[in-house]
Amino acid sequence: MSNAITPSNSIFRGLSVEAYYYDPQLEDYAGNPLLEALPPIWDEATAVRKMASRPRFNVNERNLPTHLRLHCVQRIARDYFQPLSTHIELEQRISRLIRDGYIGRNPLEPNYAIRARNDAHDLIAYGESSLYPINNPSSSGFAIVGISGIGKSSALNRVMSMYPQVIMHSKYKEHNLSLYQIVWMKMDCPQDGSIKGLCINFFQAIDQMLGTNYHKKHAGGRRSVDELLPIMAQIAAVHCLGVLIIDEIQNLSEAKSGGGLRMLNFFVQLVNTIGLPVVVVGTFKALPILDGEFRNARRGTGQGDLIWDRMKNDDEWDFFLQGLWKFQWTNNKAKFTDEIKETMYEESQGITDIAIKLFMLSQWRAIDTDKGCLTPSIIKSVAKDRLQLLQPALKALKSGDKSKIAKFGDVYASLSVMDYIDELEAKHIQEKRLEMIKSELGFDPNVLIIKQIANWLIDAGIEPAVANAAAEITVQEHQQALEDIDLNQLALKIALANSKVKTVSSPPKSTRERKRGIRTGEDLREITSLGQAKKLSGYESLKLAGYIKDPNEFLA
Amino acid sequence: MDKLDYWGLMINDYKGGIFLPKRKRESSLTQIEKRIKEGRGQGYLHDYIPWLLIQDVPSSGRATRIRGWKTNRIHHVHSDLERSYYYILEWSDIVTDIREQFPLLPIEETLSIAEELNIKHPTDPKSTQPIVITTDFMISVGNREIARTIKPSSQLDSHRVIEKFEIERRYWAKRNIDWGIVTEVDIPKILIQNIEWVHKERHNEDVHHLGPYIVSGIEKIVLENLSDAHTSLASATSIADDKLGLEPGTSLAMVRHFIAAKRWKVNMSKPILPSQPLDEIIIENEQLRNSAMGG
Repeated sequence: MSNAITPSNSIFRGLSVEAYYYDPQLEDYAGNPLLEALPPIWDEATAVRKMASRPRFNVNERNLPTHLRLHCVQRIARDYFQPLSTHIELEQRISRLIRDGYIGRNPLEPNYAIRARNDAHDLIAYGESSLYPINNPSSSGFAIVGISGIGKSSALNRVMSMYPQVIMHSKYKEHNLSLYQIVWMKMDCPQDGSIKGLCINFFQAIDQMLGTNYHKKHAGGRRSVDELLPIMAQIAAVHCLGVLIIDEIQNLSEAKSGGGLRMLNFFVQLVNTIGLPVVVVGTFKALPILDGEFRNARRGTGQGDLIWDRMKNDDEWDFFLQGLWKFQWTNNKAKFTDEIKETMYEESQGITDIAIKLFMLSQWRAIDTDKGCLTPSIIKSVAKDRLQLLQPALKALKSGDKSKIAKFGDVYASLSVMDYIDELEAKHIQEKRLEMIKSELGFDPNVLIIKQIANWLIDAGIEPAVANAAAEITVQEHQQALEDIDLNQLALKIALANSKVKTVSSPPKSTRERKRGIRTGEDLREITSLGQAKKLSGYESLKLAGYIKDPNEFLA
Repeated sequence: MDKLDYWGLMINDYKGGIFLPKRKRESSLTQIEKRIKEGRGQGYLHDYIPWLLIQDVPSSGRATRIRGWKTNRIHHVHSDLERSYYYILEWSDIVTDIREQFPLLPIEETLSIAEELNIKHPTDPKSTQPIVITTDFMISVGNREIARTIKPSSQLDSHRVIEKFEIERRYWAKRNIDWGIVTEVDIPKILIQNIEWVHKERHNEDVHHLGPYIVSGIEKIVLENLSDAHTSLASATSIADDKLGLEPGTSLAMVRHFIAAKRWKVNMSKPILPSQPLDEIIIENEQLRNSAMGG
């Protein structure tokens, strides 16, 4: 038995876990196992920390032979992820979307399964529901539109992998509950934009996740799309799918006439019948398709589309590049200068993916040609001959001429869609978030390193004030080889020399004090670094020490 | 001309004319001297001038100027969080003076604390000269003074932020002034929304224009209608507007005034929404209370 449509394996997979029920934090989320089994709602700072990822890096690797260093550089593409303000926005939207979608669906309600099954099927098969007008979907989803290479898919993958994909429920409080909850499903729109291809991919993905048999059961025969869509809706309803994400939606423009519209209609129906949020992702090429039916469905939900433009040459760009700049396996580390920053922007036009690739390619060239370190001229020449295919599009972007840009469908930032975003408002949010990200991830990499060393020393029994000072001195003195692992030892030497009188003569006192609690001194630095050793946040340590005040203290 | 506007002009003069760019490059010390001469960071109540005015700080977009209840001057707050805290202070019955952006002067003192601690003193990013550290709020409660600094909790994990706070803490510790941090975590959001909603009506000009007779008429009619638990605040006030032939909205503004002036006591931890009924009102005036209860 063979299918005319070869299934693509462009499906992003996540984890399967057994249900653990958290405090849902908000009243309207309580009592619904689907919601309580989700991970906690993260604040922005936690989300940033969870999303960020850095490649392994060790300064000594700079001495490795060329062919090995070339491999090291490859790590950047694999592991480097720098959360930016847009990513936080995305994380929050997804978080709200999934939860909002589950509000109307509670498997503890009587006959939930039957209702979901029948309703979803009937509504899509006959256009009306035979039983109840079920869930009142307050949520619908949104579209993410942006230049290719700006990181839409990788950001989504990051965000989604913060959630388990499948949650197995067996017992919720006193209820027996046998249910596989699929929190999210992300798949690519088939190349040819065919609905049948999408359905088959969907069945296969579900089968892989749950060990079910939907593909064999439903996709085998000569079922028509009209039959497959209701089944897909039914499966989504029965397994409590939280959000369906369809990437590469611009492929719909390749669909045979009417096909694209029909698929969008189907998404709208999913939203309306089973309250399943749908997120579609695509390049600007997809805009004309999205402007019709789907946009109407999204109206009035308060979740506008996320327009993902290339980065501006601003503080955030600076921040992004500085983070990237730490990972150099060339003989010498190139300083991050304004000239480098401008060159990188000029050559990548603020498209993050291109910037990262350019950074890697330039390193490769510098290593390969024994150039010692990265220079603006290497970057320029690499851009010239390695990014050749992109040159026309980049040139168009550089020129700023809209008619020229428009010719490159995928690298096209349309101004007409900007009406979604109050530009100024967006900018303020970006600034605020950047500030938060910087403080969260330590904009100055040294601060982080100092902190780590100091904590290591404190753990080793050194007094915090001495430890902090020693860590700082060590880092300052060894600016050139910061990533070296021996920093801890160096710092320990300095710390021991400095604290001979105080600590070494009376070590029992310092350990006793540490055990007694946070408040060993009044110095805030000491309080927070001690707290950190106990895995307390700055807020928690300061609160324990009495420095966090109740804003209501002057109210009767 | 209002004295506050006069200040505004003075401040613009200081920058060398209204049309000049916001920040003029000046050496740090002369700038500090100039500000002290202007009276910044000095005085009490109506006469206090914050060390940092909104126009001195690169806009974060959320700066606000609010006319204060306690001081009857314009307060400059630089963020949503500061504004929220400011509203709570306004609402307090024991706080007598609020002085925002209070400078830690003389600068030599914070410089020497920083040096002693081996911490970098905050500097102006452009000129790299040391700048005067400020504490967000100096609060007077009776004859006691209390220093409070506002910070989003997420920033308390930043080493640098803690360092700066340590300077601030030591400065106040030397003066035996209670210093502490307030974050968004403990801020009562609903209370703040409610205060914000009534705040500007505390000094409602209509109270004088309409006279006490009409004002208490409004009060009576609104209370009478609110005693029906199904009537929303908006309809109760629009009935009053109708009956008394007032411009639509007058009575609603008056209700905000009553709450702000604490003539009515309401449950401030519950959102006050015009579209909803307003219950649990406690009226100090007994006569009025009886008539409102239909007695």
